[in-house]
Amino acid sequence: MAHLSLPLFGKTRFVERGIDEFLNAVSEAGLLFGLTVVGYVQVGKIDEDCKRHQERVTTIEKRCDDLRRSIEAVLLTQMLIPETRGDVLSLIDLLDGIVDRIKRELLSMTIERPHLPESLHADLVLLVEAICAALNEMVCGSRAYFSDQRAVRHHVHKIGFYESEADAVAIRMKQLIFASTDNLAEKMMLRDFIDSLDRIADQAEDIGDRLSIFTLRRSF
Amino acid sequence: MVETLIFLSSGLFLGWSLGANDAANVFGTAVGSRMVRFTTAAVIASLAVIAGAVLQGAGSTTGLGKLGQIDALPGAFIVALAAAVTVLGMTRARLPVSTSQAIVGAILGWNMFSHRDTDTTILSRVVTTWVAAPVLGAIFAASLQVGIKVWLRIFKPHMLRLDQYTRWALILAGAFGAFSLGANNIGNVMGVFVPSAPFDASVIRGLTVTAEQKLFLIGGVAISVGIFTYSRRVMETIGADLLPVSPIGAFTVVVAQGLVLMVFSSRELSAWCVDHGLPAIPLIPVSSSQAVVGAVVGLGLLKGSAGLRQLRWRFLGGIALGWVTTPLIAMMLSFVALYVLQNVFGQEVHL
Repeated sequence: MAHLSLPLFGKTRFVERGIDEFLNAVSEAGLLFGLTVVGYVQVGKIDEDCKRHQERVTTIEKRCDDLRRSIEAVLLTQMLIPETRGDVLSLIDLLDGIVDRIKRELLSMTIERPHLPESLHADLVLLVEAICAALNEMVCGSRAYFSDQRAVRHHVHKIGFYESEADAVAIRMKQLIFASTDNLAEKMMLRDFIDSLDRIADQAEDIGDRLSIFTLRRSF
Repeated sequence: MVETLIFLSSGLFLGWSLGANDAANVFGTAVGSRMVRFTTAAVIASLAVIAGAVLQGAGSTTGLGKLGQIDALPGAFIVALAAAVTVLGMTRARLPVSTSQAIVGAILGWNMFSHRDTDTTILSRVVTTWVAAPVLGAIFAASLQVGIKVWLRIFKPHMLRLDQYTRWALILAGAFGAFSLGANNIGNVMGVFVPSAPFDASVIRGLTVTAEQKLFLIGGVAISVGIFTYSRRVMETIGADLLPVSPIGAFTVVVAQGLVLMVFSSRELSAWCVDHGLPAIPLIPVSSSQAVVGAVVGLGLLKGSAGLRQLRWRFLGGIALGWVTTPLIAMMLSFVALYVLQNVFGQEVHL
């Protein structure tokens, strides 16, 4: 969609397709995030797969930016009930923001390459799974906002559940880290790494909260 | 001819104020939320009002005529003027007002002044419609809303498509609402002039245009002028006076209002009821604003306790008070003005 010009007729379908494509891209970024971090945990280094996944996330982030701009341009100038328009634009912006964060965190990981003690591996995988599940529910909730608003609450509830799980795992991991005898610099680096991952789940939860408000505003 | 136009001017003034105020009931939300441009709304509303008045206006006018056969043009002038002044005064005082109630009060004033008996059966029917219109509005709106909710649950349309449908639905509902407004409320504007109509029937290219239709055409044009010249501000400022309503809710309200007005204007529907052993529907002009209020209350009731809490009950109380004060003020104004016109200006206000 990003490379297509706006058709004279069928603008609704054009934007519908754009939003679908955008949500697919967000979902893909979430999946790639999981693959990259779990790959790094298992292999213990940034291998070719990790690099490839990280580069794909960067490409997706660019595509998301393009799609966001196209969608915003059409929505602002051509269509949608004004009071809903603001909410849709906010949602697209927030989702784009989370893809930005995923890209940033993966890039940091590939640059900083934190050393992950084996005692943390299982929990790290659990943390990534919880974050990915929250991201998945966030995308499903966003899709539901566009076509089945009754289902939004269900997805928002699940985002909250997975975010709490991610928090619990992150706290456990940090307790483990600071109970160890590693040097302080390493401990702090690991803590920051875990916090940066956990913040993705926090951001997904924030989007879930906003989705609830947007849905309430649409209810009649 | 000039004299005729002078006497008709009060009706045209009433028509203008009706257009200025009541067009907001059909296109207010669409224009206020910038979904439909004012010019588009004004053109559609004007054409639909005129079509409704000329094609369907006779029904409600008959009902009003039964309340008082005003047989002299100066008398009709004063009745329409008294109603228009009442509407203007109450609007200025920011009190909810109904043109229908004002005209009924003014006719009663003429009946009193000319010592004609008021048919109490007709009067009680008219008063019943004042209560029935908002109640019917509430029933129609609630039923429509339930239907729309079920449809949305089954088909789950994409939000963008739903909004596009809503935009078109608001335009179509607005056209229907304006048609019904013309059909029902032209009786308020021109009804009192019908018995003393200064026109003759004519045939244009094989099409017979009755004297009544000519009168209604002029009245329709006056309403249209009101829409174009003064309704913009009302439309753009119309908001959540009574209850915050979504665009789909606005569609429901406009359709419910159109249906209420159509019920009280359609001769065919009334005849159908009689044919099926049901009581005839009184064909009387009813207040479009009160039908809208009823519809909005219907939506509020559907929301349950949350909706009831959101309703502005003081506003509703003001409307109920208007049922008594509007006809009383119009009746007194009409009586006094008829006295002045007859005794000071020497005009014959009744035969």
